[in-house]
Amino acid sequence: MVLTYAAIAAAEQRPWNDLGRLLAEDARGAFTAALASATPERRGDLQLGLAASLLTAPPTSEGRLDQAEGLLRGLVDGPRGAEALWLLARIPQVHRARPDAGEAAVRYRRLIDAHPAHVLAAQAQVKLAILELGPRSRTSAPDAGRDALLATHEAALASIADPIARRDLQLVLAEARLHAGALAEALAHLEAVIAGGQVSGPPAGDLLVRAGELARRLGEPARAAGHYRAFLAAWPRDQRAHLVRQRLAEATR
Amino acid sequence: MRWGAVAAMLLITAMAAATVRVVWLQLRDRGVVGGITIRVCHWQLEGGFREAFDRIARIYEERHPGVRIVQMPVPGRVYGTWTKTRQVGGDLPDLVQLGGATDEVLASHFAPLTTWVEQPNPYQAGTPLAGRPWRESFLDGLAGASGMATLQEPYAIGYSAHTTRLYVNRDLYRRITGGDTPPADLAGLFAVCAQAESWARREGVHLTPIAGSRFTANVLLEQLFRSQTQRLGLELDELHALRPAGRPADLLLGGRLAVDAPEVRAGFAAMRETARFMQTGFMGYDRDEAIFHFVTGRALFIATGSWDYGSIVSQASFPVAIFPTPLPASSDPRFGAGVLGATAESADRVAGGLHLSARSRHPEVAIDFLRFLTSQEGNRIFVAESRWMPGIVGVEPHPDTAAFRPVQEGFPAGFAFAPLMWGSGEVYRVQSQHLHLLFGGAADRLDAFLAAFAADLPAAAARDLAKDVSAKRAAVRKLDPALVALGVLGDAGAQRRAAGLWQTQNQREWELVRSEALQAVVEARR
Repeated sequence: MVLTYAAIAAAEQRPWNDLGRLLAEDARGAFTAALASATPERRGDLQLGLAASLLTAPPTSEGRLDQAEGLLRGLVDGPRGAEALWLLARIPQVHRARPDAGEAAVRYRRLIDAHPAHVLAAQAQVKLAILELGPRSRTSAPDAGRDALLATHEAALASIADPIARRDLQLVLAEARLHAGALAEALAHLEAVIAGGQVSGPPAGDLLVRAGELARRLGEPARAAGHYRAFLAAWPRDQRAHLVRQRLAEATR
Repeated sequence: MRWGAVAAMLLITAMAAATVRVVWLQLRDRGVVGGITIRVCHWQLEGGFREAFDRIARIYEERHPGVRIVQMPVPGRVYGTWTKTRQVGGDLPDLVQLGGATDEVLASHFAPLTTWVEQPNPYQAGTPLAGRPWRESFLDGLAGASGMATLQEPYAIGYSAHTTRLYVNRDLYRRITGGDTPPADLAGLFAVCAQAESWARREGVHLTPIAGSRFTANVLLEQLFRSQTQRLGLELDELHALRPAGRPADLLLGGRLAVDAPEVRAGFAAMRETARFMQTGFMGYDRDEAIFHFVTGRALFIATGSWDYGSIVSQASFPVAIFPTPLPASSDPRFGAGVLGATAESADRVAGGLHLSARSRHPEVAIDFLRFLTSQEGNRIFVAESRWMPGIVGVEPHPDTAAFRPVQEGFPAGFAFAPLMWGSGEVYRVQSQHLHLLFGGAADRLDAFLAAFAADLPAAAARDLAKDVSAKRAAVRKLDPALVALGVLGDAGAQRRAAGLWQTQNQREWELVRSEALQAVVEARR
């Protein structure tokens, strides 16, 4: 079972809507004003909203991040604990002027331990995979522990029920496998994402082309042809359509 | 004395009447009196566009008494400043054409169109698109609309898909070549241009083979460069997506590409040799000057897009023919090595980008007008009047502009380091700085350009990479509050947007880690 976010009061929809549309400053003002007269039971939601808006509402500053962290720490043990732990991990990873990936990883693990069934814990698995499997540099020697790390993250897939986080983790694993030159494993991940049906728009077309190309390189023409056909059916006017038709003809020769 | 008083009275009366009229017009345009007014601003001053837009507006007004559609054409040179001033003043027209906008600008000043585009367009009644979601009317299904790549919601409606071609002075072409056969490839173009120069010398007339300007040179020369990197682009495609991966400058920093690569050299050589047939100092000309040069019979060719068809045909006193852009053949001994074949033109990018102001007083009416504009009926009227290409499924190009129909039987284009115009960043600046060497007269200028470009490129690429890392981090950051908010809101629409935004953020984050790794390599080298 996937645990999702707790519901909010209908009267508080407006600032959350603003926040959902990147209007962080409008939301910050509304949350601040609402907090001034909030009942104790509503304060947690409003504090979460205020903390979230402080991350990006201009002007951003280390002081505002400190203020957000303070608000979030107060929420960790309450009904908004998962959301608070999530944002507490995001702050050192991408919001601080000096990012601290190590601290972010520690905080993601804390979230996973505390709320293992929450959708944000599943996304924390994705973020951990990006931090740990992301390309280091082209010139550095292969990391001896990399295969073990990949295996660990692939094993984590089994525990992720949320289809969106599962899709995203599988896409990260596909990139990591591809980067390591493991085409067959990368293809398996891409095909799992295609089968999940959770990618739409142009990225869905890219997925099909990439799967077709990997299958072709692996010497599996029938498998490649299936992906090429699916691409041509969905994206007949794409700039790559002619080339994909050629590839399909070669695969079915 | 009496006459003086009468004159004063008349003057006061006229002033009062004028004031009342101005105020009434202002109030009417703002929709306060006299029914509903929808204002639409754009920068399309090309011949035929405004007339086409006006015709559609008048038809719409006839069918919807009480609604006025006011077109506000603003010259491109001041368009950005004009719209920004209106944004700040909170006085944007109802519908605003934008070429590109940040997520913040979209979110702050414009309305997402998700709800509307999922509903059927009633003006498609009686067509195969009847009852289908509005988004399916567009050649690109709105996949290329503003906001789709990042915010996962469409913020704009387009109505035309463009391609570029070579416009030809047909009378001159016949006199010079003795026929109508287009040059088959770049070598053929060079041959005709050389013929044109000889002909002009013999006849004692001033004739430029190709009308050049920064804009039109960009149209032609960038395609030539990309033809040379077509094969290499696919070889460098480490994602196996059948398109050039990453920015060329990053490939250079990563040691996978060099300025002295044969394909790069051939690309700049093709640009240089083609530019030789443009007028001296063409980079100082703007688009209108190049068009004027062509329509007054002083140039044989001009390379530009389908959007200029109306302007050129209406101004030219000679018949205009449209030729395919003559790119090098793969058999070309000098420029064929990097070419895979014809370049495919994407037929699924619909341009026009009309955005609905978040402050529009009549959003439903503005949307209804857009629905009419992008119905098969509306798009056919638009295509017939403007000679622009259609952007709606089931609408054919006008017979006059059939030559602009996108080429589908071709291969993806290669990469270019930077355009000649409308670029940004350090690599663009460095390339622009040295272009005078590339387009200079002496034979050794290509080597001089390549040497100067190669010397400055690594530092410029590193600075662009640093900016890119910073921009990617900012892009990742700004989605954090939105994702938490969408989760908290929890309704179906919020969940659908969140599903897309998670993918956007995670993909950006992966790319950020990759760019940071490259940055570490570059810094370690210093």
